[in-house]
Order: sequence, then C-alpha cells, then structure tokens
Amino acid sequence: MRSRPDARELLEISERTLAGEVAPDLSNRQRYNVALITAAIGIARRELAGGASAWPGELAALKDLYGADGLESDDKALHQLNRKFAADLRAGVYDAAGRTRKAAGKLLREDVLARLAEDNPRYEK
Amino acid sequence: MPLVPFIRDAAGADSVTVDDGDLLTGGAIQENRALTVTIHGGAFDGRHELVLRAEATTTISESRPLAQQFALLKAAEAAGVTVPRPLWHCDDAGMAGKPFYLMERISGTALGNRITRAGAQPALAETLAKELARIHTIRPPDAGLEFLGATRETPAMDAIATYRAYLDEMPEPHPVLEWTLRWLENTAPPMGETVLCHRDFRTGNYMVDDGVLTGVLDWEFAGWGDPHEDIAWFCARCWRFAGPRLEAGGIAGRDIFYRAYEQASGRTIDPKQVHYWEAMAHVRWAVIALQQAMRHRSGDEPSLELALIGRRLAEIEYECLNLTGAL
Repeated sequence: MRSRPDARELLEISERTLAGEVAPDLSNRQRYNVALITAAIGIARRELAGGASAWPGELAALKDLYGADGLESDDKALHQLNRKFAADLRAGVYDAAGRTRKAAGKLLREDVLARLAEDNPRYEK
Repeated sequence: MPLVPFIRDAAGADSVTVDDGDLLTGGAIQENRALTVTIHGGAFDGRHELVLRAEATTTISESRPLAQQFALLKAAEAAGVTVPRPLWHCDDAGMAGKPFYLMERISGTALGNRITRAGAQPALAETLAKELARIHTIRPPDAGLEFLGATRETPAMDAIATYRAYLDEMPEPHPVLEWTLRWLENTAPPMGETVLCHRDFRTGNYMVDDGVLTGVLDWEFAGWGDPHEDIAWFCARCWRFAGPRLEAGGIAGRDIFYRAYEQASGRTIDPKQVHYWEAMAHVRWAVIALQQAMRHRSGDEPSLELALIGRRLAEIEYECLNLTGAL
C-alpha cells in the first residue's frame, strides 16, 4: 500500500495552492504559466489514478502468504490482504523464525524501499 | 481589541496597547502569533515582545490542552529549564476567538534545517543535555501537574497500546508499523525510573540565537515516562535534518550528548534502551504523520504542508525496519 495522501490528492492540493495562493500574486504573464502548470498537473493526476502498489510484486507476495480465495478486484484485494497481514503481525503470527517470517520481512522491505524511491529518492540511507 | 482588558487585568496595569504582529512559522499543530504589548503601570510596566499561542482549528490526539501546556511551562520554569517565560493563560474563547496563553518571545531560530546546516555544535549539544537533565528532575507527584495520567503498565507497554489504538482509527492498515510495534512488545523493557518526559525534545523545538540556546519550546506532549524516551527522541534519525551523521539531533556525536546528560543527571544511559526507544520514536512520528495527513485528507484543513507530511511515512518506516533488524 502507498502512503496517503496519494498522488492524485497531492496533485489536487498542489493545483489548488498554485491557483488559489500563488497565482493572485503573480503578473499576468506568470499567471498564464501557472494556469498551464495546473492544467498539466490535472492531466497527470488523472493519468496516475491507475496503479495501486509502489512495489509491483506486492499483490503477488500477499497472495503467496494468504492465497487468492475470496478476493475482489486487485485494488480491494490489496487493502483486504494488507489488513489481514497487519492484524497477523500484531497477533504474533509471524513471530517464529522460518519461511513465512522471511517472506513477511521481504514484503515489508520491498514495499518500503519502493515507496521511499517514489516519495524521497534522495533520502540518505 | 478584547485582548486589551484581559492583559490589563492580568498584569494589574493602568492601560495597555497591543500591536498585532505576524503569524509565526513552525506551528503545524499550534497557532503562534507575535504581539507587541505596551503596559503602563503595575509590575509589568514597559514594552513586551510576546507570543500568543492558541489551539489550531483541528488538532492531533496526543496534543495536551492549552491550560495543561501552560502549567507544564510553569513547572519547567520552576525547575530551572530555559523556556520562554509563561505569563497569562485565558480559557475564555470570547477573548481572542479561542483560548490562548501569552509567553515572552525569545530570539533566534528553531528551524531544524537552518540549525543543523551550521554543522557540529558540541557546546549547544551539551547545553541541551543539561536542560534535559533538568526537565528530568521533575518527578511524580508534582503539585500543579496532577493532570498527567499515571503509568498503567510500563511506559513502553502504554505507548504500544496507545499507538495501536491510533492505528485502529486510520482508514488503511500499516503492516510495517504493526511489525515494529510487535517487535517493541516482544522486547519491552521492565519498569524503570519515572520522570517528566518532554516528549518532543528535539532539534526544531528549541530556539538558538547565534549558536546559543534561548529556550526549549513545545510542551504540548509532555508526560510521565522513562528518561530514555526523551534521549532517543532527540537522537532519532528523523530529527537530524541536514546532519544525518551527527546522531545527537544533527548537531553533535552521541557521546558528547550522553556524557553531558550523565554528568548533569547522575544517571547512566543504557544504549540498548535508547535503541529500543528510537524504534518507538519512529512509530510515534509515523502515527503523528498519519494524523497530520488526516487533517488534510478529512477536508478539515486543506494544506500542502500537512499533505506532504503523509508522504514522509516511507522514510520513517525505513528507519523502523532498520532499527528492528528487518532490512
């Protein structure tokens, strides 16, 4: 799962900030440029409404742990499976060393690294 | 303005004039306004540069009400901690739109990036360690701080329960934070010493003027806890700003900060406990970040700043995995 607010929401508030707060203080010419930028953001925002995972392997890894029975669309499945995963982590299901703990660790790691690459690629590790 | 009669009565003055100043930066949770107040007569006769602190429109669950913040500031002042002098608290929302308190304005900057860009500042780190030791001299019971809840199980187990409850209020599940909380549960330390923890003692929350500390700010999260919690919060990776390699707040090496704290407090710091509380620190910051993002997402307070705090989660969770040995 991605962190929220998601890309669409970020673009939306950026658009609003540009149009509502930046633009009024600008010259007519720059205001025109801002209108272009906000339009471009709007396009990008809609285009980005697609993918759900930062790490493309997320859903497959979750299905490996829990199977694919009773799942709805991929977006809902991600939420469903992550909720189960989170609850199981809390309950100690993955406490014991072994194959499933390793798989859980890999899933967490890949997900965080992929989100970090999107959200803050210059983060000093 | 209705502020005038309030200050006049509180200061026992003949007359008062108030010049409203700017909204000060750095208050993502609280609203801080600069005021210049001229008081004629009474004990406060003269010109005063003050800060009016009021609650923001929406707040996050951990934040203490203003009256308690004011009491904490008073207790800190009495313990000899360098703080902006607290003056008067007003619970009447009719006075300035919402409840507020007034304190003296201190000089300098609190901006974490600006402070840490100056590089290593061992003397400042030592001063801060001594300030923290002074805060930790306040212990229960303390007349005036009765509102601080008692520890239920241990500070660590209490924190785990609190953060799980906050996560349960979030619309999305957070496996990395659950993983970390489970690790914290399985490795929780036994009950230690109980002191007043500031709980937000870090770079970004103290003012520095010309390299010299002018005050410790933001007392809204303080409560009884284990001294290691504050030490870990100060050293946590998420609060080092431009100085990630300077592990004590981005301004000095850990050894300098630890030594000064140990000397001033008479305590011995247990590095394993600091490590433990650093993992807790990142969970806590993650939960706060989620709550801040919700202020934006809920539509209550649309703000690019709050929205972007939500996208800090990946780096915070990276540190969680790092500290729990999962990377």
